[in-house]
Amino acid sequence: MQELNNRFNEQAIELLKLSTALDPRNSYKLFNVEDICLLVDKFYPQDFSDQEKIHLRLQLQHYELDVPNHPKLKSMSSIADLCQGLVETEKSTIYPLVDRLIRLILTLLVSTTTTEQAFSAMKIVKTRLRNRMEDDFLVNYLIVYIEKEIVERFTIDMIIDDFYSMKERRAQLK
Amino acid sequence: MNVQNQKNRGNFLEMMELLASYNEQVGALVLGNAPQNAKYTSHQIQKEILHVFARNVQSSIRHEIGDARFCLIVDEARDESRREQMALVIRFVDRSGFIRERFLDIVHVKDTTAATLKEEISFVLSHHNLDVQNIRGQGYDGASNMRGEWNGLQALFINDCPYAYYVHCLAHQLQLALIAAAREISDVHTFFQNLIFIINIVSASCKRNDELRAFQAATIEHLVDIGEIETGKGVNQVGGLQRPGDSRWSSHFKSICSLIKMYGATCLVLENIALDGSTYSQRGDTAFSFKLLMSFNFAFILHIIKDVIGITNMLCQALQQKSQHILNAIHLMTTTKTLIQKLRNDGWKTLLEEVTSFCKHQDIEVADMDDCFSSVGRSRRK
Repeated sequence: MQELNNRFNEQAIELLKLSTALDPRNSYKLFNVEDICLLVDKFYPQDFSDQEKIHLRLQLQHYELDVPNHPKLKSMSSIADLCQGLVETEKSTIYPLVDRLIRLILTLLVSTTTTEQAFSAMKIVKTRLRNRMEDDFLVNYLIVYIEKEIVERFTIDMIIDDFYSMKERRAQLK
Repeated sequence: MNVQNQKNRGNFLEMMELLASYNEQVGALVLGNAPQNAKYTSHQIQKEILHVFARNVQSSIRHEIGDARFCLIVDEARDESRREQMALVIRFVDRSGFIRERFLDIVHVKDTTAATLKEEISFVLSHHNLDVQNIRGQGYDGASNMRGEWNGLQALFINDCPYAYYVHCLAHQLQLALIAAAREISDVHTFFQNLIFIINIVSASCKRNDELRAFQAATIEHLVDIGEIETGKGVNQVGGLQRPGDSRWSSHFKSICSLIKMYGATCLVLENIALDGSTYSQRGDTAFSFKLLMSFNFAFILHIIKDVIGITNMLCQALQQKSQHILNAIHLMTTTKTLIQKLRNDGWKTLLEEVTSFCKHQDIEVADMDDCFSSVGRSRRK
């Protein structure tokens, strides 16, 4: 237990503590305007101008009254849900600064699992039989393999257009 | 030899032919009759097409990011031909508020010093038109070239962009912390040493592994016959024993679970080797580990560790999900801590009962709790 506390006590922890103020759990029990302003002052001075900081304080006061009473946003359980909820209900246009701050916090990462997943994909692609694969080929292969969702959206025409724009081809497919 | 006349011309050409045969018009042209003899089947063309795909993916990722603030996730590993590869993942929040983690690029690096890595990453970022000033976080594992305070990769990036906060990968951190904490207790430390020892002996050769599996299958069959366990798809699979590794997530938990499941079979295998092993070292080693396995101490610690690691395993699994965000992780931390505290306060009785019944089942002599309370009490104070 001691070890757990030791290991997880780092400079980032303060940032985390302050950002719990935005947590929507328990109908925004933890909400605290002062903490949030401190968070901005201390960690994100470059993203907000002085003018905006004053606005943020005002926006937060409105936010404190409005959002916890909104039927849809009331029962959010995490900041990620909250962020989506704000966009859905178009509250993000009313509180642009709060929205920006939430996005900044969400950007912070938890673990490097995605890179580990990339390596496990690499093991599948670059096998013992294909161990002389060129770097370029490997990169292209992996990108297409890992981001399958995006590739599914492509159309054949798009690819053909790009294929022809690369250099002069003998045959015309169009 | 002429490729045309071979029976099997390779997967790719055969596949092309198959696809072409579905449509008469296509079939008439593909692989031979296209204008100006164009076949477009050479490996260069294939690579070019793949390249077009990849380029499109990258540009659509770039489009998704827009000018949002993002977070760098970097890790390195060796590939099959022993080249150091560095993977670069970008985490950001897209327009509709979803957290995205996108794989951006993988680069071959000559060495793993912080300066080289920084150079490569900057090159990739500028290649994709991403501004270093927009970095709002960096995440790496705990290697010293990454996290070093003055010359680590994170320090170099903070010089460029003071708000690029460094977060140590929590899944790595949890694993390291747990192992370090557990190893503080000497009993637990020896337990893990012995565990590795036993597993090494049992899974050393294919023959022993086969024996293990056969015994395990027999036990399962027996248990099914007397109706003690249920049958179902994938419930009673015969597995092997797994080795724990310090930096592998939740490998300890899996290892311990597999041993508990196959306790009886393992005992039998060890006993067999101890009796008719061919050399004195084999017999000696196995006799020693058999004695270990039958001792109450070992069974007891096995169960304690299983409970503790089982609790934290939940957290570990949660941390490995994609798009996990940092506040959820902190909440999970708190619940984990409470659970451990609860286990420490009132889990003692159930634990003891569990261990006792386990021991009776495996014919292990149960130690008298009042007798050796001091030594057991120590391992309890974890």
